[in-house]
Amino acid sequence: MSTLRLTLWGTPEEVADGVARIDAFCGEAGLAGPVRFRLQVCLAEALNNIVEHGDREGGAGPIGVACRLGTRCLTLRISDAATSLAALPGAELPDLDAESGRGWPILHRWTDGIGYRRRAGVNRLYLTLRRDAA
Amino acid sequence: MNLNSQTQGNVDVVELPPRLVMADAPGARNALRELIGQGRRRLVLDLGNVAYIDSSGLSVLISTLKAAQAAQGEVVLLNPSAEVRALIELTRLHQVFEIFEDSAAAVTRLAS
Repeated sequence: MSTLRLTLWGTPEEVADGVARIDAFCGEAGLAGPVRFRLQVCLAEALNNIVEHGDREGGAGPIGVACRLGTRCLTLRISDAATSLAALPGAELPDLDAESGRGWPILHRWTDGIGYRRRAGVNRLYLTLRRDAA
Repeated sequence: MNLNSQTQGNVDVVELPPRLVMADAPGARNALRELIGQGRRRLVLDLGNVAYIDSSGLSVLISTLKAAQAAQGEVVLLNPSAEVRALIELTRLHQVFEIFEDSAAAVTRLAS
């Protein structure tokens, strides 16, 4: 089991850099195939949501990402101090021609588990992906 | 953002970049809308080089389609990888876009 921890500032450029670093870490650890692409997309979607909707003054603020790679699955823990989610957004896709609203549906469909909790003013989102996901 | 494109008759084949995510979306969207604004409204968006795309990148495809349709044009997709195609199908965008594996077939479709 190996873990990589990063702290990102909540900007699109930092998100892209963070996803690339997590992807490189997982690639070096032998992750390949469709699940590696899903990891990139799901991590990006989770971070994009914070960047887009984090409403702290001055932007989304720092975002912590921990990627733990086990033999059977990988877990992402994403931490931020933006406003809490009242409930996890749903899995329903938007209208076909909508230009937004696909992030959470993708997360629901391409992860094997989603967890969320807020403690001491910090949101923690947990995403689990099985390494053998087809 | 500069996008490579090739004009074949009244159709333009536009290569999208290897990464099309939130950080890249505004530049790509503007570049594609600029093409449409120049009257190049039959676009084949070549996804052959796209290794990584998220929902922001998908929104670029949709906004380009809308802009082209508003100008009486059309947009089709070319040659997505298996992973990118899986994301397109997951989000049902294969119901919106025709997807081609062959550039000549895509160009013929829009030129017709």
